[in-house]
Amino acid sequence: MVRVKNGVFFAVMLLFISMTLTAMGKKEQKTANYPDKDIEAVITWGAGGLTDNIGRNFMPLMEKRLGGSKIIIQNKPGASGAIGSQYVKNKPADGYTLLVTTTEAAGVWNVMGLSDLDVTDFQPIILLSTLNPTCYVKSSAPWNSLQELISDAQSRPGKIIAGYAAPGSLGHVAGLLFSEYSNSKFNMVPFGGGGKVKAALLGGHVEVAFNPLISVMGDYKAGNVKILATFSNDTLVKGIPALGKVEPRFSKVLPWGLMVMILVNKDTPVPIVKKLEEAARDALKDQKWKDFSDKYYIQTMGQTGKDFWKKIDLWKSTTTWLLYDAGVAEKSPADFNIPRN
Amino acid sequence: MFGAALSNALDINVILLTALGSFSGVIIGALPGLSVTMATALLVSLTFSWSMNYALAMIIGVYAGGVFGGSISAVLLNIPGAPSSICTGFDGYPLAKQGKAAMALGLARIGSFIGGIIGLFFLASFAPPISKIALSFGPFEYLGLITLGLITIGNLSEGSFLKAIIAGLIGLLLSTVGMDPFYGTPRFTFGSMELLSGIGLIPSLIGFFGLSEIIYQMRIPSHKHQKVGQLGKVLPTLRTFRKMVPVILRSSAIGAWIGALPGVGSTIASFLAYDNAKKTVKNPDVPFGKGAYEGVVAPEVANNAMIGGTMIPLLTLGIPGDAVTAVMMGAFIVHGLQPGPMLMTKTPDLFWFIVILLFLSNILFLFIGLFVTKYFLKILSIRPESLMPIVTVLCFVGAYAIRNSPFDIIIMIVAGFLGYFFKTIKFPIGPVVIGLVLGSMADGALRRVTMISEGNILGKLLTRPIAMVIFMFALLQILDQITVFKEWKKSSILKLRNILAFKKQD
Repeated sequence: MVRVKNGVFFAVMLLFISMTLTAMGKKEQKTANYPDKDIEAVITWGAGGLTDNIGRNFMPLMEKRLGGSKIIIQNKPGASGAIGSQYVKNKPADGYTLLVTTTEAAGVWNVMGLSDLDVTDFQPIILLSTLNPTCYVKSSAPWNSLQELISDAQSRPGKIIAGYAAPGSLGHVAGLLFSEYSNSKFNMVPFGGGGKVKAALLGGHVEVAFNPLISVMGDYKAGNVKILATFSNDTLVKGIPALGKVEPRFSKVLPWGLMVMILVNKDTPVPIVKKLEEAARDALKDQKWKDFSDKYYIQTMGQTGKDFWKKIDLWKSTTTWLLYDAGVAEKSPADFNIPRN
Repeated sequence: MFGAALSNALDINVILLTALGSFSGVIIGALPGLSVTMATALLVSLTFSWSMNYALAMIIGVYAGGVFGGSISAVLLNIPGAPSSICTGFDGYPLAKQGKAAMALGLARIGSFIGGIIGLFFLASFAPPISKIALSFGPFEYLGLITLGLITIGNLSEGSFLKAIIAGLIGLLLSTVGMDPFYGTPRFTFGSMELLSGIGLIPSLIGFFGLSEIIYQMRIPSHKHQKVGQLGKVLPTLRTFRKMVPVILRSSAIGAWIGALPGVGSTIASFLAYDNAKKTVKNPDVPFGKGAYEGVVAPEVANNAMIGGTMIPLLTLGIPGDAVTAVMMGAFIVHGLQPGPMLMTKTPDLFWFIVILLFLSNILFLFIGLFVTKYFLKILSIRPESLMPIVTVLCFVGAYAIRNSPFDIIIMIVAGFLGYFFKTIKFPIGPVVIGLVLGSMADGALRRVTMISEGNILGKLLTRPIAMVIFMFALLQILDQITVFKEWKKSSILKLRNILAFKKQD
């Protein structure tokens, strides 16, 4: 009797395992009258983060422009976005699964050995926005301008401690870009998260830090930090210098930032891609999106098709070679036919 | 501004949503396999389009309720819902087996209430100065705290010290799987992309404690299952409660303080509180690990006091300390508020609104908790053959829903069988999970310290007095385990006493 019960028990468990496995491999194919059912949007970063916020603010606006279909948002974070992207890659190319991911998809996974997937494995819908990094210091720091910081860093290479979140992150590449083009060297230390970097800077454990503009604006307004530059050619906020203006040698790679984009699987039928592109472009003109992006210092991009690739190729080449030269990337961008710009 | 906040909070919808949040938080936390972390991940999509006050009411209710709910499944089934409830099961489960679960949960609930209010008091009165002190904690101080956390592994061991250390090391080893936090290179991933984000903490927790327990129970013939007789009362007697007061106060202070540090995560709070209780309570009625009420009260109180603490860096600096506060920050952003130091000066009523909500949810779930506990206790009388299949389903759902990842289910299953294997060879599971929790933190902190001091760790440490005190404390704890040192300490204390006594005679 006991044995029978345990057998039933085991069977229930096996049933569950097999159910999950079949659910993973389910397939559906439908192309006519797109969209005639709900669309899944996969955000490759965690709930509550910046990318998530951008995705969740944008998707309802796009949804309004796609007839009656609903866009259902799912977060599939992990491995700098590679996990969620692989999930979408395994879905049919029918336009019912959208991928909301960041520019790490452009070569960074490849050179860092995280995944063989690349943005070229997908069909772009639109380049949504750029998150601009800033170089900032505590308000009590000795440097009042970017030039002062650069010359100090040049006079004692590797002595000034610079904080960033994680390898390959926005702040990390910004720091590398900064060192490379200003011929200076910092002691760059990762802190495991943007908030933690800021805490370390405010507590005086780190002297310089690189974070997206939005996450330091509050401290800037409160007078806790001095923002020495934004990584752009044009002034983004009155009173904060643009890197490209004060240091023209940077201007060819600027504006540099982490970009959020929407992709679908490659080989998605052209009419569907066109429909999605149109909806996305139109959604970017929505007043709601403008209010949101203004408030958070998010630069709206809006490139589709060829313009998308132009932006992405430049970003890819700048970023991957920087990571490789700094010894962070384990594989050379040349292995992936990424030209040096 | 307090008035404005109060009138916002007295909105009937806000009160109802807080109550709903607390209630569902307790239920979700109490269901084995489901966790607060999972609940928050789901809350984001649920509350995204709500007005901010409503969203905050719901999130805070679920947070506060869920933290308590986790203790219910830890005590009744030995399946903690969150890493911070691991220690609760050490004494809680033995208590449940002895038929004292009701009292244990009642004590935990009342203790949590007091802890919550103390944490809230810290938040309401000292948020700005506390956040300043918290900022002065840098990589050195964090490394010290994490070291203290790791040392608790030795103290938390049941029976064999050696086995606990080995189990802890296995946990540390597992924590190294994934993307290297400094160079981004894959470590021990064997080419698997899913392993890049590491071994998920919650899925492995569910596996190690949940699934392994299910498999373990399967082996026990049904007529041999222990029948729990009298369930006893949920409300503790005044005498029992009075004995807990020192533990409650100390654990509250530990919880609130650790919560205020954005860099260590809240899990350490409950480890340290349990460890502290084990050391300071000299004569518990029952030894720790065998069913001491203090062992349930300490981590639960710390858990709850921590909630007030975690709000401090969130509201004063715009820095979230854990998954739940990160979601709250997301809610601020969605609703047009800029997290950061200006939040308190620009929108002081928001600060007070959150304080009032926390207070409200504490009171609400004191009653909800006591009320629900009575029903949850009935779990103990369900036959395992009926209960365990349900728990199995919950484990699968809970593991998947954290990141919507089928791979997490696989992690859960593997951890489940590993945990079962550990149980059969009488290896403690707690240290494995503690190692897994603290491992990646310790890895980062140690390397950060090395980089900042450019290799001269000791020299730099001497310039950091707080860190030195923490490390001395850690060293003392290790030395305390060595017989020679213990004897030396004993004899020197004796000598000191003799000298003092001699002087008195003079």
